[in-house]
Amino acid sequence: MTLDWTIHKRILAIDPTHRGFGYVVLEGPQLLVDWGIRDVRSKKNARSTEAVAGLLELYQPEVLIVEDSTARGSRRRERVRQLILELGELARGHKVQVRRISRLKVKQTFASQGATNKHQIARAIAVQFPELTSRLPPERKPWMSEDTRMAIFDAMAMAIFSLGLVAAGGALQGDFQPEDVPS
Amino acid sequence: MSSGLSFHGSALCRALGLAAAASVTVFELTDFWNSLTMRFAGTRRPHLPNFSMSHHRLENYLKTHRKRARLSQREVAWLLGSRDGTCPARHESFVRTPSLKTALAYEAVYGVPVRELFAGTYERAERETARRARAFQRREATAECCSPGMRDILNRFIPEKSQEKLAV
Repeated sequence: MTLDWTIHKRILAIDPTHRGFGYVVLEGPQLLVDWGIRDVRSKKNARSTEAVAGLLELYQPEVLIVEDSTARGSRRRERVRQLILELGELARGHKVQVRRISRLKVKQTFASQGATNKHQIARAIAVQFPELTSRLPPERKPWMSEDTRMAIFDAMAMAIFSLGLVAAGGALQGDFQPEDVPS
Repeated sequence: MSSGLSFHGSALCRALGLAAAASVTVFELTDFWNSLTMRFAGTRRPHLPNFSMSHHRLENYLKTHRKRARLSQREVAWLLGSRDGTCPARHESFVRTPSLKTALAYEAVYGVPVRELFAGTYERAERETARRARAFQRREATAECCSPGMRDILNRFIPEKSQEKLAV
């Protein structure tokens, strides 16, 4: 794996939630093309897959980034694990590379830079991408459920992490388990 | 550069009502981000898409700029003079290409040049023009028989080496 894919490629990062998913589309490390949440309330996996297929067709990304639900630190329920697998299959059908990112590694990377929780990570992302500031949810209190808007920032954190890995000279490259499948 | 970043970070912190301690974290992460991005662009992240380096640009970046401007499709439709949000939605999903008048209206609304708003379309047009310039030169055999203006255009689109090759 070389440095160049981060510069040249359009990436789509998906972060599933309990009802739908958050997504970001980036072109290189600088241009945030699109971002948002898709709300799905019934037949969640089927409809989420359908919506992601729409995004793949519209933006034709070279890389799809999803969470590695089999990695240590992942606390995804069975439905979401299945959805992530289905998204991998879908991406393969569109000849899009799939990269699975360990959530724990994302947390550790950001923690080493001073952002120790999701809200701090989200805030740091909003500083770099001011267009996301309006989507920044209020800090979560212990009695509150997680705001679905946080999925945008989680997807963004995975995308940034994947870009940062290569920029750091490959120090963490061993944690990348790319499933490069275009045939 | 650092003063610009500090201002930017502190302004955002004020806007978000964050504590001073939190802003330190933001600064550290800003440095982290810069260390990642500087090697690509040499500068802090720009806010326009003309620095993007993807192989194939999207047909247009209307949705990106609409979201940045925090406008709804309905509001944009009103500004463009359409009745509902269908028209911008079709432009944004690359189903339809807007007329020149509408494209210029988009430029007026977002304050971004048409060339950047329709980056993919522009790239394609540029590529096709270069192809036609090469065909023109092949047909005319030498660049001597064309006007100075045309020579300038050929110089712009065709690298010198390939011009020499064509002349030979």
